[in-house]
Amino acid sequence: MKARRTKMKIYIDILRSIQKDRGKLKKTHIVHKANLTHSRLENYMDFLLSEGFVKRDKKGREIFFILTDKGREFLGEINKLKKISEAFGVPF
Amino acid sequence: MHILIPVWFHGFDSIMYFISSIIGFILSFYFYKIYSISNEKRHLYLYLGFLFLSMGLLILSITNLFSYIALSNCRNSCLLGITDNVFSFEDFSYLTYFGLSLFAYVMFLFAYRIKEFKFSKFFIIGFLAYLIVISILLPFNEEPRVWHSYHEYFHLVSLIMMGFLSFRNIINYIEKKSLGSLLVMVAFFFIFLFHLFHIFSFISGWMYILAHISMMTGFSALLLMVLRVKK
Repeated sequence: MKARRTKMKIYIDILRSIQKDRGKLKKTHIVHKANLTHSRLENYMDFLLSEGFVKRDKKGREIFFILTDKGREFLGEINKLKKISEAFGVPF
Repeated sequence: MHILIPVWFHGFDSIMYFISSIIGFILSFYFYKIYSISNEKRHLYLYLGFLFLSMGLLILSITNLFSYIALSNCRNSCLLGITDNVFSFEDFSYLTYFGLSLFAYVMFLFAYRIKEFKFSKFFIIGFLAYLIVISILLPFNEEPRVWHSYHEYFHLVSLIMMGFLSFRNIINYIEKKSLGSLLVMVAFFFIFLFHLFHIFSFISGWMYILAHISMMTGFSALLLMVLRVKK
């Protein structure tokens, strides 16, 4: 059985999914890649937007989410913690 | 059995324990951060393991220094807390260090999924039995130097646990082949050597020195791993 993701893990999954797509991704794609429902994603995106980890970019009818420098720095810190954990042979 | 410590080395061991405890606290801090994100029990065990190990080393560092200061104050002949048959502050501190370290190693064993091997119950029962034996025998201990008579049991139990942890980290290094996993493997192996040399510290003062150099090397490897990642 897979363990429930923490709130923090979900934020990381959202940011990583944006980062993997050259730092810019449509909302529907985030839903799919971060494995979330539309309504749940709304709540998480509100927080990420208010904290400045991502910003909204509207092009015509489409809305994109762009990873900010703050978001990139945060993911960099997470990757460092991941490396420490994996050096001990415990997956992150 | 007694421990031979060269006089010129007095105080160096306290400094080494102190530095090692700081490195341990740094690692416990990182594992706390990791645990708060992942909510994984294995990270919690590593956090608690490093926290208890650091607390034990800090207590040992202070007690050791206190003993050396007391020793330098009585130049001719005097009885220190650790050399009489009264259960003193030093005896309590050393036993606290033993207890905290063993608890930390048990946490590390849990972090390495020892339950997969059905050993967890064995280790918990063994650990509790060890504590019960110590608490039963302590009041009837005829030998002076209460804590000295227990240090070899502590190092022997630690040696077995560290042997297992080193083995798991060798496997991890073979699988990952990364510098980080190499440094962690080296760290656990040198802490294993620390306990091994300590057991034979009744033979020569050099065994005691080698034990502490090994401990310092082990913790330095852990610090190097963290610094390398944080760079």
